[in-house]
Amino acid sequence: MRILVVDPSETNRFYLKLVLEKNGYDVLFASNGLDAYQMFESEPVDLVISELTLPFMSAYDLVEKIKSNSSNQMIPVFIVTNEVSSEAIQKALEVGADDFLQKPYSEQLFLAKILSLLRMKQLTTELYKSNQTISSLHKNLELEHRSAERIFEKFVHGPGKLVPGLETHIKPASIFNGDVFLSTVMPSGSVLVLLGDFTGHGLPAAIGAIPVAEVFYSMVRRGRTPSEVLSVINSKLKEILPTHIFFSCIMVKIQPDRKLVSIFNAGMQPIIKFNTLKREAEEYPSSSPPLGILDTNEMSLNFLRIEVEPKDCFFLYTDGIVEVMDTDRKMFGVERLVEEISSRNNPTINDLVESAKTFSAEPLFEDDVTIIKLSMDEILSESKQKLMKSSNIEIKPATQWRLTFDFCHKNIRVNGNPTEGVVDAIMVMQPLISFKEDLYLVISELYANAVEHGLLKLDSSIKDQPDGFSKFNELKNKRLSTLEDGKITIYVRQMPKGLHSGEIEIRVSHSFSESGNDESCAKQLTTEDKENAFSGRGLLLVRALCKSLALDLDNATATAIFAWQQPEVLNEA
Amino acid sequence: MGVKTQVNDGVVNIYIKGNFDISCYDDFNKTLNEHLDSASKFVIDLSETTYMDSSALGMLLLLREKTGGNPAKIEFTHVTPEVMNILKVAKFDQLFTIV
Repeated sequence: MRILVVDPSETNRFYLKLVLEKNGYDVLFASNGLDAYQMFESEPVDLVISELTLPFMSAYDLVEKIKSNSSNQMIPVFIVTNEVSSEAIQKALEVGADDFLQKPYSEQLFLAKILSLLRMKQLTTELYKSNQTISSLHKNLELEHRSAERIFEKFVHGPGKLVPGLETHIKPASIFNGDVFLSTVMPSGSVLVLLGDFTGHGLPAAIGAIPVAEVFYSMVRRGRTPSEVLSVINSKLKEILPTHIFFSCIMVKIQPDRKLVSIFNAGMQPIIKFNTLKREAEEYPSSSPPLGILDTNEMSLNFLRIEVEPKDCFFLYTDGIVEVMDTDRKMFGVERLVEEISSRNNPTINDLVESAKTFSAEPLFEDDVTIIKLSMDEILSESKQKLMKSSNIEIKPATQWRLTFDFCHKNIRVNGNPTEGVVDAIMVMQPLISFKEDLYLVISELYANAVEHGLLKLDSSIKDQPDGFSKFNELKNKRLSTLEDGKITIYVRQMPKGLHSGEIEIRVSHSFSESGNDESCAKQLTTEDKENAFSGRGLLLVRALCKSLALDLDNATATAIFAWQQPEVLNEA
Repeated sequence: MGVKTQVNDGVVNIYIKGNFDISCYDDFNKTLNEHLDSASKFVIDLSETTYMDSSALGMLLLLREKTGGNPAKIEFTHVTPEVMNILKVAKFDQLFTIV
């Protein structure tokens, strides 16, 4: 250890030399401030011991110079002085001296202070080294993040289509805060968006976003329904995510031609709908646990259908904005967000982010906020044809064909809803990606009706009771598990109506075998059974989607005619 | 913040004071592993829990998994309205028993 001693008195220097060398230190000397600084610059030293009163350069200047020129390492400065004025010593400490001792002093105390200062130097050096390591690691990590982000951006946002009426505020580095926002136009011309949030931050969250995006875009492109998309996302996440990580999300589908919005909220804060004309806000809270927790068959992926007006807009957001805290650690909250929206004629995303910023206690508002606004007027004014066209689907000429599917009670019990397979078979005969979703809904509603009301004889008025849905499902599962008789037939036939248009007849019927072994499952349908057989509410939806729906009570058959036509704009293109 | 545990007749009572977040992870996990085999039931007392974030929900899912997904084995008591709101948004009231 090398110590620089600065003292104008030769006697003092000689004494210090003796003491320090006896204790194993290397000693350098200077008799004035200027010499001392020159020596400090040319020779490496570990500690400086200085008198306060110095010729040529004051001890204060010397301390300041030493401190400002040793920024990347710590050189302790120890003032050992005859000076008795506490102001003078205080001033030395203020400019950077690390310790002091007034003469006369005990040798032991002097040496102990030197050891303590050298220990401090040692600690500071170690701290400096680890800071350097951390900062270089950090730089590498940042670089890696940036590269990952570029890959990710291409992957997640690449296939997305330009969606009308969409205003977004997404944190620039949104992928590493676990927020996911996906939007597209479906082959059917509907707009579909998904906003989600993984538990936690960082890499696990970003990794989970990749399968979500892939499933979303690839399934939508193939004309899959939103609930099919969600169920596959759920299964995938359940399989790959560790138990404690899950995915809260909102899916919103807008059908511009029917002015219908379907929403599904799994574990997110309420979706807010605001009508700018009536100035009315409505909230749609979470109806399901987040994805990635339960098995898909334990989840009810039911969408809530809402009729909308052009002046309606929807606000979707992740926790960021409602968790902004003020100085009293009070949260911004959903209520305040609704107030902020309702207090404006035409609330923009920017207004809301600014309000949160004003509310925030942090002077540097952490822009950890994702908020999306969907304006209905812009989406509803887009024609279905134009939206369909944007999904670039070409329709093949219509041909004549028919398909028949029989499902016996064993299939029905074991395999669940076969609609997906039926629709896939239709797609082989006549690829109609743009209409696939509607066909799926029609067939799945007719099938569900035949099972629930036809074979299982469930009364849909059960659903009107409080807790009715779960009672209904409980009863359904109970009866289904003991179903020992019955059959459902789905007959599908296409009749071409021109080169690029056609009608698909879908006939779904149920029956019991002649030799039903259960007495309660009578062979002959009673009048009550017949009336009850078509009471499912889904039939309303089927009527809305189809050209016609005929119910034949005597033969327990529902016949729907689904008409399709290639959008004209497509022909022009 | 703090996780305190008390065992009565095989019932493991876990008290969580303050914010239930990632800072509770080590204590929570330790308690879990210590009592998993012997516990007949876990009772999570949330009377003094001010806030719960998504990592806390994650810890509850871990507990759920380790107890075999049996809703009768985990119970939440003294849930404050604030925390109840968080549990309701995530629909954890469907996965756990709330007393």
